[in-house]
Amino acid sequence: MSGFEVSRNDYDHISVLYLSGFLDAHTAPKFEDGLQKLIKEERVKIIVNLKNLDYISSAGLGVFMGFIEEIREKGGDIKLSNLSPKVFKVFDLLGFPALYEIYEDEIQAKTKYSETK
Amino acid sequence: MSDYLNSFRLRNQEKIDSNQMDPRHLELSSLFEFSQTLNSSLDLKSILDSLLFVPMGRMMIGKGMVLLAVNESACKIATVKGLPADLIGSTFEFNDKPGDVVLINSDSDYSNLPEIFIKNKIKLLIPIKSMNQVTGMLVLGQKLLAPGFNEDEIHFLSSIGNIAAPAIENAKVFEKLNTVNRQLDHKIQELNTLFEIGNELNRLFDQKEILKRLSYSLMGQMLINQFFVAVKTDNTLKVVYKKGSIFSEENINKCLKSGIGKNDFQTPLRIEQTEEQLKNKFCDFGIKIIVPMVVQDQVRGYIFLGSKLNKTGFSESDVEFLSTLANIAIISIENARLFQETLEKKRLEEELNLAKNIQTKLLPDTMPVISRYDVHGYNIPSKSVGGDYFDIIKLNNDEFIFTIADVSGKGMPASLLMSNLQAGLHTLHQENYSLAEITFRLNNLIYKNTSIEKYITFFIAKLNIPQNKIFYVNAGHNPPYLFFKDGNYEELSTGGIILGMMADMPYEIGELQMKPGSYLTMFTDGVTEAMSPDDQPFEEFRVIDFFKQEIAKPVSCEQINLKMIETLYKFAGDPTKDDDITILTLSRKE
Repeated sequence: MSGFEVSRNDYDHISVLYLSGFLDAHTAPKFEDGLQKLIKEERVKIIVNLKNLDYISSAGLGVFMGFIEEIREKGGDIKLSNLSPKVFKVFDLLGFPALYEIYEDEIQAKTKYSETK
Repeated sequence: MSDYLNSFRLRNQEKIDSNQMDPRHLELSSLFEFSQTLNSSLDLKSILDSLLFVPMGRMMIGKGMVLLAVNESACKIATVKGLPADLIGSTFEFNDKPGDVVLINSDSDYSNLPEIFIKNKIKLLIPIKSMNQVTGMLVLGQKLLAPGFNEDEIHFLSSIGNIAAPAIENAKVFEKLNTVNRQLDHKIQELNTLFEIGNELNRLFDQKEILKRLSYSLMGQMLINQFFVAVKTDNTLKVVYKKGSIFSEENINKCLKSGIGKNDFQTPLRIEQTEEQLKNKFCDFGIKIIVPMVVQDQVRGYIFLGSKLNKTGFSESDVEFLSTLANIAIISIENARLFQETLEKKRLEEELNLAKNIQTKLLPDTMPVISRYDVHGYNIPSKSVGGDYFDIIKLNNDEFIFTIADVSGKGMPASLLMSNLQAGLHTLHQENYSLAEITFRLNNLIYKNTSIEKYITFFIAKLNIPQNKIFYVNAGHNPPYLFFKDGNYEELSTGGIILGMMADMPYEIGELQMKPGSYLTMFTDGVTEAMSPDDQPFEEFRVIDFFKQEIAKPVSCEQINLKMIETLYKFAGDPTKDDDITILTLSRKE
């Protein structure tokens, strides 16, 4: 089975999750845990950096969906950055760009948070 | 293109001949450039934009639009310049689209044309033709500086229309191809999701995990985060998973009580498409679609879904996907339930085996050697854990205790009670109590520890070797027999009531002489109640007859017990089918 890792870095009021490997139904709980932890710590300004994500399935996208309502209610957001074309295609196919802000890189996403602070 | 060049030559023969053609040369090269731009692009919007910009720029026209034919009688405004942008995308009726350039010089020229042209002061209509069909139209307002269009300009514009036609067609085909491709990609994504979840669910045997995976796929593929899953248990729907904030406990309950589940439906129900009454009911709760979860034509549950986050409705393809996903999930949920049940059963069986082992260990595994006496006890447990018990306890070199008991019921409770009795007995015999006192105390112990319907039939005997005497108490056990060599026998029934029925009951001690060659046999009702195939019990008289016959010549207790059991098997087939069988025999050697 292919691996999947979540790591995290906190910058001031923003937290960045770095996903790598394969995000599918099997590995989704790991990502869910990561997001759940952030919510518990009330760190809801979240950037998910997908630079090293090789593959994402609909189930992986489901994790994003499962938390967005709660996070936005708490005044936060999930912004995405560094999507490879292959990963972006899945997001695009399922209509995610209409619901989530997607940025070229992490800095742009951070800037966006700073603007709306 | 060649048309334009021919007519250009014809009209300008003189100037060509006299080398006075610089402005025309410019026109020609701009046409060439335009043609190249168009043919290098497959993007419909940029093609249409240049189709407008080229004439507007060259002839200083303030406004224009490109129309595309939707069908024979209607047109769509594909792009506009210098006119309100909200016109883009609107359609209007336009019958008999002119196949030639229409130049509008006076208001009367508008008479046969759609109103929109008057409103926007359109001066020139140039058809865009593909295979002799008018597929679109380049529509321009008036020039800002000079009035009217001269013949050259009309020719030029008409050529532009002709050049644009194939490029527009190509772009349209390309656009369509893109749409189809995207739909295909979407379908592939759907299939991947189903394939993935199928694989994943096959691995899981825990309902909670299964529902979690189902929710990921549902949310990711459908762009929803409002839904709940209700599964039938004993024919009532119970919510097993809920996501999102719009479904309150109260609403869910109302919804489940609204008759869903009574009249099962096997295909997804789109609330907008149902009858008014149902529609209002579910719309109030925010439910948009209800997807049944079906196993072998049986509806086992439903998924209730709210709106998609991107506000689009559920497409045919979405509904198909949901239906398949729901069915895959419910099969896994069912399997998980069966798996858990099997596990539970297996665990119980293992526990039973454990209990059986413990119970077997409570019975003596070797027979003591008693001088001038022979003893043998044998227990065959029935399939489940039984309640038979026998024991031989050496008190000292001269005294031995023999006991046999049958605990009411079977299985774990009987087994527990039996070990209780065993522990009690092993404690009490050390205290130098008489048999009556031991029995009295055991009765109180069992009475205290059990309900009234649990009881034990109990027989205890003490052998005194120097006196060759048997002292005994029979607490409701089927009476043992003492057989003498001469063919007579004694029934050992003195004692009292069954253990565990009433507290503080008195017990009486019986006393008998063990003559040489006599056999004392104790057994449980598994022997006397062993049933023959024609439903005849073995009964006491057969036990008595058997022993009378067998002890005529000296025989070891082990031999006689085994022969007894052999006889029981012959009589009943499998005598251990319903009950344990226990026989304990003691004989005084001759």
